[in-house]
Amino acid sequence: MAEILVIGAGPAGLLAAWVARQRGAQVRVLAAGIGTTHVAPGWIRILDPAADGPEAPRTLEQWIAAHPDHPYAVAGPEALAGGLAALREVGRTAGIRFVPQGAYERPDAEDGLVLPTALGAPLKVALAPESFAAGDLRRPAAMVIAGPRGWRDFYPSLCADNLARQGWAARAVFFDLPQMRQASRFDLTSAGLARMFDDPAVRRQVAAQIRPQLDGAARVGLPAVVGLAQHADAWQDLQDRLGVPVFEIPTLPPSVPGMRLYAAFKTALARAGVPILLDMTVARGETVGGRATGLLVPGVVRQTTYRGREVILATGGLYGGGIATDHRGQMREVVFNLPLRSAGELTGWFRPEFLAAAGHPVHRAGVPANAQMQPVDEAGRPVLENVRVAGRLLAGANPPIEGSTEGIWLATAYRAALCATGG
Amino acid sequence: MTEYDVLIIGGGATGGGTALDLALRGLKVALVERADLTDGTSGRYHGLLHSGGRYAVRDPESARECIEENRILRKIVPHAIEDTGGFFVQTPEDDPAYADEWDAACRACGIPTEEISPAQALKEEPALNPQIRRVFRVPDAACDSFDILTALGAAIRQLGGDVLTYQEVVGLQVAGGRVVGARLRSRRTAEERFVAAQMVVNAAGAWAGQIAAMAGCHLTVRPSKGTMVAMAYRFVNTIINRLHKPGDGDILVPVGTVAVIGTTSVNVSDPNDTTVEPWEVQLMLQEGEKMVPGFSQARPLRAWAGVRPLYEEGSQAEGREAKRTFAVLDHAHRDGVAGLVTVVGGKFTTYRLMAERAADAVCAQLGVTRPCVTKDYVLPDVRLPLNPPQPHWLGHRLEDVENAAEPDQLICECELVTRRDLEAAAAAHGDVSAPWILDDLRRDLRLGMGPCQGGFCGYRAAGILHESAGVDAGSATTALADFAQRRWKGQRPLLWGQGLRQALLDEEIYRGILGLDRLREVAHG
Repeated sequence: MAEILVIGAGPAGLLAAWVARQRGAQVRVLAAGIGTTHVAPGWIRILDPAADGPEAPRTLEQWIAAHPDHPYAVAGPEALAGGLAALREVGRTAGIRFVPQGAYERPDAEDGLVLPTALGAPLKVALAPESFAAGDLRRPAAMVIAGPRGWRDFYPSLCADNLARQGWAARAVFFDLPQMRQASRFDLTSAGLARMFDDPAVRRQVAAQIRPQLDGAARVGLPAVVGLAQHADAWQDLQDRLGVPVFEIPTLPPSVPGMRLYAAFKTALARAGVPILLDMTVARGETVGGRATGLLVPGVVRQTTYRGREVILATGGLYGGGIATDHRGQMREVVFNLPLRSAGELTGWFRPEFLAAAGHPVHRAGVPANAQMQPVDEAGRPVLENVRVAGRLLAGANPPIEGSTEGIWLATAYRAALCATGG
Repeated sequence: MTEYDVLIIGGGATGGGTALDLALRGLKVALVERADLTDGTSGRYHGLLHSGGRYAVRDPESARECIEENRILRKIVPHAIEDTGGFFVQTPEDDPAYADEWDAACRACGIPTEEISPAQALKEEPALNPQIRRVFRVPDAACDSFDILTALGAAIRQLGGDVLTYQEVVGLQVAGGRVVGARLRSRRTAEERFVAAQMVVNAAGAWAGQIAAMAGCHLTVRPSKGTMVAMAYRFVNTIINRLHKPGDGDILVPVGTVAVIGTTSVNVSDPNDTTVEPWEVQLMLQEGEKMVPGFSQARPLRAWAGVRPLYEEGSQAEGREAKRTFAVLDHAHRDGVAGLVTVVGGKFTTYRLMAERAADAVCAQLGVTRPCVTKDYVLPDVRLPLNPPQPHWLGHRLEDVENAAEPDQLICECELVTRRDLEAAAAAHGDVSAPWILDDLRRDLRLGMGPCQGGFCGYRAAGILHESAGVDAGSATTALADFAQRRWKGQRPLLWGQGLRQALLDEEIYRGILGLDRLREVAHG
């Protein structure tokens, strides 16, 4: 019997498993499959003050005070720093360095980075892998945005021209990647290109084509495909060859930075003796007297019941699949059928405008929890004392407009692991 | 000043058909449409080429028109019609007495029916409700209105006519008791111009009353909104009709990769009202369940509404009580206004007949004696990518992609649209910088019509427009925002289950990865 069962191999589940293991627990991860790492852009956003208007809280403490039901408030102000430290540690083992350095990042406008998106929009992020950092738009250095000619998942001209018309010195350059023609059409995703960039010969060809087009540019932006298994070397090598800083820009999924992070967690957890069991969909949790006693995983031959002292529930919210919905507007937490804070009637879940500034109310639905990260009922009483909820499953946030997606998983997963291992 | 023999208002099937009919009789025509072709009711229907069975009992005239036109359209536009055949099925909820009355009425109208055993029907269509009691086979078919209008537009141009899209009629000019032309306003530039014509045909469908009023003629069209839901599966390969008095949600049409269930029938005061109400969606799912058990548990893809232009001269009948036949009104006789003919009512299946009668009325006034030839005029197939002369089937595109001499990249993976397809369609488009360009290309290519609803292909298409079609970055970004919003409109009433997760992924892509909402082209709501 493992001491702690983590359900979900998304960012929150992986981080919680790592933290719990670091604190000495025996941990096992059960998951239906890979989580949202493979979609996430790779940067870490904590809060985007701009999203909340000029009166928005400028610091995490102020935000917590203003939003007492928010997952940041539930996890407490120290949890984020703990989660960040754990992330840096896991990243370091795989050569992924998150910048800027500093013990604790505040969501102030002065902190963090402003990075270009693949569409050429400026986005405020708290920290990012080092390979993104030279794209910081608060620096005036002229840039070229480079990409393989004819590749469907990144458009250097659109990115550069959108940046240019907003006042940044940016222009597009193209290079040929003949390997693209040899690859099966199914490998022409970011992941396929990243594997090509693992090869020094490919990088040599790419650099040789970009260098003559630099024309005074002080930095080069590329889609986030600069190496997968050999990323750190690939990125450094490309910079050396070009003689200017290189920065990556996340583009359409699959996300190579997310895959690198997943690989980092997988390796670190394997070394620490934590198995990640994929294709293990927990059909249902067994409970007795306010405690979770087992997790039922159906198999081809028989159903297996996994048992642990504590369960960390990181199944994701509506997006990740931890909450199922139907055409009648019912929402259901899929493992324990936990009480949910609803988003009201089905007709009000989404706004008429896709990119409404106020965001879609449905995001705020989720499992309410207390400071011990235990799921609670309407009266605030814990429903299952040995279950801790982490990540997007928690109620009370609207991550896409708050810019809080990654911050929430870091803070809540850290806190959940802490509570599960005796606080 | 441009001068035409005939200006036809309304880029739906009726207007397109009338313009073609007149062009084939040697007249110089212009077809004017306020948006893209099929933007109105023609592009918002379920895709059923009626056998006429639905109308046989209560509206035999419409039923006869349907079966005759059904046979003609199969000949003249085969590339847009999939011969699925149709079933009328009696479920336990349907009045058993209706079946024999219906069958007799079909015979009287010349609609061939064949009763088959429920067992045989279930063998052919295993997804059907096993409780069905009686089943009749009829010659229904699935019909792609985008492809028909594309063909009509191409034929009109080939014959020297003009197709003026995104031109809104803002006034009709009447001089000496005669309509002599129309004032058009460009939706792009807001510029207005006058177009002179000897005759004007009002084929504006649900908007026909508004056009007639511009010439001082009073015409009461009763707009009746019908909501449809496209499910992400076909369920059946045969069109399924409930064997009962026509009602809501009793037609299921397999079209391409989806099945469309329809419709509701709601009287609306404004023909622009295509709002999908939550109760309409729930009703479609509930009714679908009666034809195909498990229907409401499957994933819906999009909901939309079209507005039927119900019209009966001198009648007050509304909704399903109204006849579905059509009227051609010569305003010279009716209102003392010469040079204007209105064609209104009817249904998609009978568009060619409506066009013929309207064109006859025009020719009578102009003294043109050449007869209608549209019964035998095979419409050109100008689809992109050009499929074999068969109706759209994803398998054709897959073959093209797999067998291409030069490998190409898929831009829209759901509908298998390649980069070359997109570049060719953009090159053929008259106005690639228009904010609605991606939606126009969608109608040409089916871009963004699959399960991801533009989540991935939107950015790719905008990037290609900018990179290869000379669209500046601001316009490409505007087009992307416009496309994302249009795709959103049809998904929003249906977001639960896996569709909801897909929508959140799309939001993550547009907002979280691309930061589209951070660019000034996005108007914040």
